[in-house]
Amino acid sequence: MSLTLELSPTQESELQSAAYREGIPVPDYAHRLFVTALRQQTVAQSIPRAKEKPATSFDWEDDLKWAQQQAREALAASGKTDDDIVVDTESEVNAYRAEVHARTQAGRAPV
Amino acid sequence: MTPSLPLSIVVYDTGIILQAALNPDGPAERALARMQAQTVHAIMSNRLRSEYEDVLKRDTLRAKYPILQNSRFVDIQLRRVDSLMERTDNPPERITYERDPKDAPLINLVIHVRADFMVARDKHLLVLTDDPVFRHASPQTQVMDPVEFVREMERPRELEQARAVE
Repeated sequence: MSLTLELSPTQESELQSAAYREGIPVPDYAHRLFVTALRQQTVAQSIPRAKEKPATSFDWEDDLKWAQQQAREALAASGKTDDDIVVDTESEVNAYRAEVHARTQAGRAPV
Repeated sequence: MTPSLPLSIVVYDTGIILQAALNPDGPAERALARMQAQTVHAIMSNRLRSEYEDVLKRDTLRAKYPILQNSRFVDIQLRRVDSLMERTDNPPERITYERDPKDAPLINLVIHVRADFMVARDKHLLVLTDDPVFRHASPQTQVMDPVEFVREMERPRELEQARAVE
């Protein structure tokens, strides 16, 4: 049986760094991680789960207001317009996708 | 009692997430706020979620927008999408999209989840509406920029208000 992982560049880089730290080839390290995760999940499922705190939007909505105020101040200080932001961000997304696409085409993405 | 209509399924391109974060008074944020108002059902794939995070953390973008160097700021943007969007497995490849193959994973997600809307500002995505292969694969999907999308979302409410006046 073979297993293919689809990883973002950040995840791929983290996986490689962790494998190098352990001195283990990347595929062996990924395999070990997978088996460990499976075991942990089996153990977790056998333990009765404590009642989870219900998800609320309150926590992050307050944070979002703070973040939006920070963004307003940063934007005013920068003198940039919404058009500038669109140009910059679309260009970054395209550059990122081109990198990922090139890696996928080169067959580097599967581990 | 009038039965409520099902929510429109929406996929937001990564640029919209970035633009909403950097300009909370701009059209991208108004489009994204629709999911907070629970008037749309937003969906992202695992791959798209990684892309949101990776691009928010790109060094080149951080150099242009130092606010992205603030990890709390970035974390809040990610918590927002994690809280409000349904996350799904990466979709199978239905089309390759010759015009811009690197956009194919996003387009295949739109097809797979049968999205009613894709919100984007990338010109290669905005012309999808006229692409016969995409039209065939996903006939119900409208690809709109955030301004058009917000206008479209407000249309039913305007109709309801007009009926109420009558």
